[in-house]
Amino acid sequence: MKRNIRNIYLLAILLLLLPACSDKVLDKTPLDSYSDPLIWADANLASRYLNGVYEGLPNGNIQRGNHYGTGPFTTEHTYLKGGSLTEYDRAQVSPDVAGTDRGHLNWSRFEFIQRLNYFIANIDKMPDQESARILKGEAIFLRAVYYWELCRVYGGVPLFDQPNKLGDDFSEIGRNTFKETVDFIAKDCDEAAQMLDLKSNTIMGRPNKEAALALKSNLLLFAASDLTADGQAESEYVGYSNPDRNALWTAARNAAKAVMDLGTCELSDFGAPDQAAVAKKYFDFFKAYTLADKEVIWGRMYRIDVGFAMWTNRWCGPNGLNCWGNNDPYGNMVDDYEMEDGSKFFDHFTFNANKEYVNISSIFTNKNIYHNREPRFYASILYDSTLWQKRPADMLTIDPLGIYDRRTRIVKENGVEISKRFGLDTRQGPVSPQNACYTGYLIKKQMDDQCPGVTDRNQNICIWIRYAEILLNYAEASLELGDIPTATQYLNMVRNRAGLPNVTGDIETALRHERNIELAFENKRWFDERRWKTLEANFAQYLYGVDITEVTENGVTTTTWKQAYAAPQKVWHDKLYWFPISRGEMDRAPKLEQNPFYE
Amino acid sequence: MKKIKNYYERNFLELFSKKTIRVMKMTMFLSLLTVFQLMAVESYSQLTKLTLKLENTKIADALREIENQSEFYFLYSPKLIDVEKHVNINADNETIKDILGDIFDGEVKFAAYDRQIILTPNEISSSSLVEVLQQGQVTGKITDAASGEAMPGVNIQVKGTTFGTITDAEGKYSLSVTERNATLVFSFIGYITQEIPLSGRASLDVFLVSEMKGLDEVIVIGYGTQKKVNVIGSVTQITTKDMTVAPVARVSNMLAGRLPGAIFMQGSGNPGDDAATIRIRGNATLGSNSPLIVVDGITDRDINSLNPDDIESISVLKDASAAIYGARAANGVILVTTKRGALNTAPTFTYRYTHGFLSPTKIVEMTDAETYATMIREYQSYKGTPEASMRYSLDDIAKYKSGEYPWTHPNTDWFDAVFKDYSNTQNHSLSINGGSQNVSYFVSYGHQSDDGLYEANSTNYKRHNLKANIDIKINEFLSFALDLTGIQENRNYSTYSGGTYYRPDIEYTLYDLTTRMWPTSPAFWPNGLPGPDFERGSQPVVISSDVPGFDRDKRYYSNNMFSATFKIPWVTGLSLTGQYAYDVYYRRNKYFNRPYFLYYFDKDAYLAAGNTGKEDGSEFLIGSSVGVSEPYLIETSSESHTKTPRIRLDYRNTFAGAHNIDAFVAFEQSEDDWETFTASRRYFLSDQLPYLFAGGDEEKTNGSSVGLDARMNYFGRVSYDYKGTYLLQFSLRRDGSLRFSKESGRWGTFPSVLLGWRMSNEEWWQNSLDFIDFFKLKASWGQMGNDDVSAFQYLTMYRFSTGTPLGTDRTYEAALSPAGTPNPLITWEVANIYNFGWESMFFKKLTFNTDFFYERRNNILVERSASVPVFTGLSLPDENFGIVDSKGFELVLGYNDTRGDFSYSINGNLNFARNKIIEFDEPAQSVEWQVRTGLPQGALLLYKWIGIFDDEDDVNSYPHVSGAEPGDLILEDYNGDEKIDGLDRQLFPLTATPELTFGLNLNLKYRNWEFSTLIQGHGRAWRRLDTNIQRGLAGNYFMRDATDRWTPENTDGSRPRAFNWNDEYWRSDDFVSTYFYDDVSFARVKNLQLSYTIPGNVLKYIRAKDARVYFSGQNLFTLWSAQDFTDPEQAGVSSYPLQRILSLGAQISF
Repeated sequence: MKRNIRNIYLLAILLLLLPACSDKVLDKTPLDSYSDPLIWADANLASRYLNGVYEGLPNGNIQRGNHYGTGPFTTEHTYLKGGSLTEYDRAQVSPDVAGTDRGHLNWSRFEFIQRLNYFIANIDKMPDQESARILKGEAIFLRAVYYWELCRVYGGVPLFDQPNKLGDDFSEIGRNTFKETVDFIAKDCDEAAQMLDLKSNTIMGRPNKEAALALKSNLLLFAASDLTADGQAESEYVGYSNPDRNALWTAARNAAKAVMDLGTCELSDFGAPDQAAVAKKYFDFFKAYTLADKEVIWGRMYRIDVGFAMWTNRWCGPNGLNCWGNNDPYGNMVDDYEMEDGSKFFDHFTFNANKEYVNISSIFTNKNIYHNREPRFYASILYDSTLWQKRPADMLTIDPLGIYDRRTRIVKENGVEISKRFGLDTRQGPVSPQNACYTGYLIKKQMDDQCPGVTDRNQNICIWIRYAEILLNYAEASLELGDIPTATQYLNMVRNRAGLPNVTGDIETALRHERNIELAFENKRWFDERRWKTLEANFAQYLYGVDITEVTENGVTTTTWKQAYAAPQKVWHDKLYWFPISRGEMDRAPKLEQNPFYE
Repeated sequence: MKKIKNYYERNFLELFSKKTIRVMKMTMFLSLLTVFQLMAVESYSQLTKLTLKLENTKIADALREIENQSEFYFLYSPKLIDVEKHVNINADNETIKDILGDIFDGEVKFAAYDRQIILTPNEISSSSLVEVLQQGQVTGKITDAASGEAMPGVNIQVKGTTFGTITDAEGKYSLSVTERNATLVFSFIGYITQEIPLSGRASLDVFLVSEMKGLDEVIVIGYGTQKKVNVIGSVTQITTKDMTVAPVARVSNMLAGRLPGAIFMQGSGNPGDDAATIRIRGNATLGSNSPLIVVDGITDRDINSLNPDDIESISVLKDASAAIYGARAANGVILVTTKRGALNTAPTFTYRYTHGFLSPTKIVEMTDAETYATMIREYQSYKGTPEASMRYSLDDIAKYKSGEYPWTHPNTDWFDAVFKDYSNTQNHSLSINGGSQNVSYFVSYGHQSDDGLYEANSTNYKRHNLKANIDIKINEFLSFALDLTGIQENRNYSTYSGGTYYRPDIEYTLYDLTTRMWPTSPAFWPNGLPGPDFERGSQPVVISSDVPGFDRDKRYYSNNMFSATFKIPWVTGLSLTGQYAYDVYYRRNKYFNRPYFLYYFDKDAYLAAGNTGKEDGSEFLIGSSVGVSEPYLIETSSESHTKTPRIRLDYRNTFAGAHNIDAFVAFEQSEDDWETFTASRRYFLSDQLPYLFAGGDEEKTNGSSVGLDARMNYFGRVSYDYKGTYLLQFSLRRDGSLRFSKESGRWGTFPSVLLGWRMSNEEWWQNSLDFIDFFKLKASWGQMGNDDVSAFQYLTMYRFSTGTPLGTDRTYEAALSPAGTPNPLITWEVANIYNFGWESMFFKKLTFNTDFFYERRNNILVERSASVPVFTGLSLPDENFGIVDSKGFELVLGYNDTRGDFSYSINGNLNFARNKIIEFDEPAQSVEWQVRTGLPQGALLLYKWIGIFDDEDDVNSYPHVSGAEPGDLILEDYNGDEKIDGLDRQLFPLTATPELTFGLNLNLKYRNWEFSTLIQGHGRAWRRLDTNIQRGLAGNYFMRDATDRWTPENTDGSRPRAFNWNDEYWRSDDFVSTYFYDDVSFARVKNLQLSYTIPGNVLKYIRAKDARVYFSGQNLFTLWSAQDFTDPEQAGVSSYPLQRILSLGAQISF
């Protein structure tokens, strides 16, 4: 009996080894996330939701993780270090071949549109209606941004103003027309502008009223341009059928005017006419860490320690600093910068039969092709002999100052080569020569000369839109409507601010030139060249860089600048005005129609 | 001729006895036993009628004849009973009582105990029989040495006589002997027969040890064991003896080729990071195919950190036998069981030491400086690069070729510079096991140490294992077990040599980098200083050392289990077990970077000084600090806990001597939680204190992550057999998981049925097919699940994600991003697995086993990404759809024989598994040859490389990608539409998981020598080996791309022209072709061992029980490989090479 009692006792202990056998163990919620109802009850949490949507936003020229931007699709800058072309430049893009995403392959950004539609559908639940207004305005604005990014790459796309649901039938959904898409975005811009506060009343970095209106300006300028509105569009997905050109340009001009009429934006003062001051301030303008400048309408800020930040300096810096030397401006781009008096570079230089630059000027007689150029040249281009960042210790004996060095120095005596020395940043230099560029130039604009690219990420801002572009938009729309005086006035505002004299000659050419220079490397050029339908001509150009040789013979030094091979010839095809929708997506959605010239 | 006594009949007797006598004292029991047995005789002896006609026959022969005709057997002493007398018998359908009465004519008394009949002389009165027996009596108890349980039904016989008895329900026996020096023979099926001389003793307790061999082997089958003869699932098992022969650190690398149906793929040899990927019967689902790992009954314990010497056995459950693991069983289950001590065995101390030498099996061949420079020139000339812009001049090439200009034109073999000839691996293992009457134990310590291959001694792996399995028997009803495991693993890497990179800018492995380094750049300058980097400090000879910092990873495992078993005394065969396991895992990682120096050469100044490249250039070297600008530290620590309580009720019994039942029901739940903490610091004052506190305040980061999981399971199993001939097993499991919603999907039910027929037990078989000693047919069906997807996909959740700085002071605000579109209906994958096969043995030497299986996996959990357009913006959750079928077979053929001192065995296995997508999320528009449905999952959609364009005419004569030039790959225009586009891609069914695997094991034993070897291989597997396309200007070429490449002079070369990175269409992601894929089938000598056992007389001298020395080798030779680019098992050129291990070892036991 005693044993039986003990056994029962032990049995009880065994049963106690088990915690209560209830479903409670399984009735748990995740420890690392917030639930749906919680988000809509708290403006703070809801705004954090929108922060997540910023992740999909472009980061300017140096796009996201793909970091190269659309510049290589034009003669703006090279693909990698030059020497080769992208699939796009080789006309190889097809529904199967998207090529590397340079920030333009936005189709997957529909994810953020869905997130925003979910947000817009729920934000009205928020008890704090004032916060809800601004948050909703932000969301609608961001939706417009994402659709705009899609629209300018693919044309008309499927439009959604409600969230999609798992299990819905999507098989009947096709593309909306280009016109519907533009109208949809424009409407979103208007609504957002209604709800958002002015930049001065908005937390820096969050969308504002000016941004909503500026987006509309860019959108309508694009829509009114030749690519989509010259009546030649191959389908209604990539342009207007029977466009009322005048109405389109008027709308574009009014949109730009709406931003100007707010009176809250102004061009930053770079100290013109002091060209040296302009060169410095124009560079510093893009090197800023905040969006405080009144010219900046909207953009993104970064921090070195937390969050996403780009390796701009590493990707685009010189090989001699152990950086990667990508995205190098072509000689074609560099030679597009005017002289300090606003005259064309090729008014003063030409190529001889040996493809060497020869000075033919009576005004600027220095043989050095980099002398007497306009201020923005010095702010935007890293060319041979530019003072840049200090070298690492080992290079200090060779280069104590930190000069971008692309020269080959040859010493000769009586015609016999005694020694030859390649510059530190050349493709024959001692440090990472494989990362040296073919063109001889690197981008300087948007780089940060204080940031050691080898170890640190960049903190300088990425400007999404700035006031100068709006003024150029206004000038262009005015010009297209025949209002040459207004066009000239605003074009000159931008030129004068950069320390250049008023424009002369063909106003359209001058305006297009000004956009290329003022907005260089800001991920605008490819869209402009397409908009103007000038891309085919752009592709036809011979792509070149520069080789610089300094020969010292018997104590006399001669330097020559010579056109150099930079990349193979581009291959044009009419399909290249639009990107194709991938075969995978076409397969998923049978009602989608492909862009012209892609099967 | 002695009668075989039926084991089951004895059990029946015990069952009956147990019920009657459970609380009686021993003396009472003995007397009552007699009564009972006298009663029992009535039943059989009255029922059994015999017909016997014998003339002038010896009584002994007559009794034997009766034994033959009936189930009776006689116990008597020929000294007391005269059995030599001749008698006549004429019995016609008479009872035994009558017959015996006739034979002995009243001179002899007989007493029947069921079928046992004891004959005694008449002068001893039957009433005093008990006392008579006690006079010359031996008593004792027989116990199972392993479990300590009493063994009923053990046969005890006096050697040389037919006199004997069997043990009772409590394992006790009492036997009358005539000689005090007689020898008793103790025997029981499945146990080693013992012969013990009495030497005058009146009491003798014996422990029987089970004989784990051949068909009597016991197999671990999940929540229990089963005798191999009775196993009807597809279960394969390997025991410790076969595993420890491999001199490798990780259990998963010992098993390849040894466990039919399980595939082990070791892709890397990096110390500490070299575990094999395990698949059972291939890939059966589109989702996760990882099998469930169970160590000592607890799921998800790490198999690779175990000390192989602690392992008793590893079982693989491949079919319905896995269904007892319910919702996690569909991908198969691997059960690891560690060693335990046995009660009443003398303590044994065993020590083993192995020292091995590691060297890469194969290193990918790269081009030398001359070839490389030539190819770069070719590439640049194809691009139209003018001579002045060429990277290498013709003069340069001549200088590389001459090798006379080490300062300006070095020719570097980077692998030679980075890798040692060999490195070391060591293993110490010591254990003590044994047991007293009530406590048995297995205690061990193991130490493993593996060095990296790098010249710089920065990379190594060390492991310490401590194990104690203790079983305590309190009394015959209650016993406890305590399993304690402590493991520490240290992985020391350089900042680049580990598997995990924390720094976002590290984009390649060290191995990868070594393949990329230019042969034209020196590893070391002739004066011994390290040469330049590839970029940003990446110079493999330096970064493989701990000069640039270190990556130290410490992992601690504490796995503990406490169990108590209570035999419920009032119901025979019923026992209750409670278990509680508590596992803690802690990991700490310190990743420290600091600047270091490399030396650049001012070549221009050197040449300008009149040097040619041959003269010393030391004074022109420029030292530069590279890597990080200042020290940088990341520390990570993570901790997880797993609690697993379980309670189970077991019932095991035999009815009517023929119906064996082994059943249990159980409840189990498990709760996991984990938390990780990360912090980083920069701006250290110096690199002397690599701790968080010594870092600066600027840019410091701190972060954490957290998670949980829980499961609740009810399950049970019934195994039944009739006389071991007809076998049936049924199991049912009900599982609940927190991964799925309460409303739908949380609970699932998983049944299984297994049937077996041991045909060789049938009389007709034994009569006509007796050369087949053993034949068992088996068939099974089971339904099981797979829940290996992320939890809470049914909820709308928002997680912290990368945010953005906002406001004038750039305050960072983290973001909340939706964790995906919720799927409220999410639930398990369901697998229905059918298995059919047989096990057989011929002529006691040849084994032939087969399994054929078919599996249909339903409700597969994958994203519906092929039919939901991207434009919907839905981030897709896993959904239950899709069906995959898989089928295959396993064949095992073995032969063993002994010729005198020489014995040998040869065992081969051949396994095949192929899957096929039956239903799949696939758009209807795809052209028919791109339809994946009907093909194996993971089939590769590739262009087919059909040759090289010889010349311009060739390019123009066949459709090509725009821009194609002579020397480029010809991609097949599959649909013949005269252009190369996505529709020309074809599906290629093979993947990196082989469809075919095989192993061949040979063992030879001669006297003290033993030799064994394992040949192992894969077939029908494909893999992309060239994983890093950064070749050309961005990295060295592989020799195979250099040899017989197309050049304008060699237009019919077999490899394409010199290229750069992905400049050429055929190197870009858009035109991936079969060019990049290789057949990775192979057969290799995986393991070979030669051992010598020290002879007994020597052992005696040193008082050792056992000692041996051995040589062992792993990955010795590749007998055949479909490609010779890399080691056939290596995951690709970026992976650390697999190791060939040559080792010597010794083992001694006291």
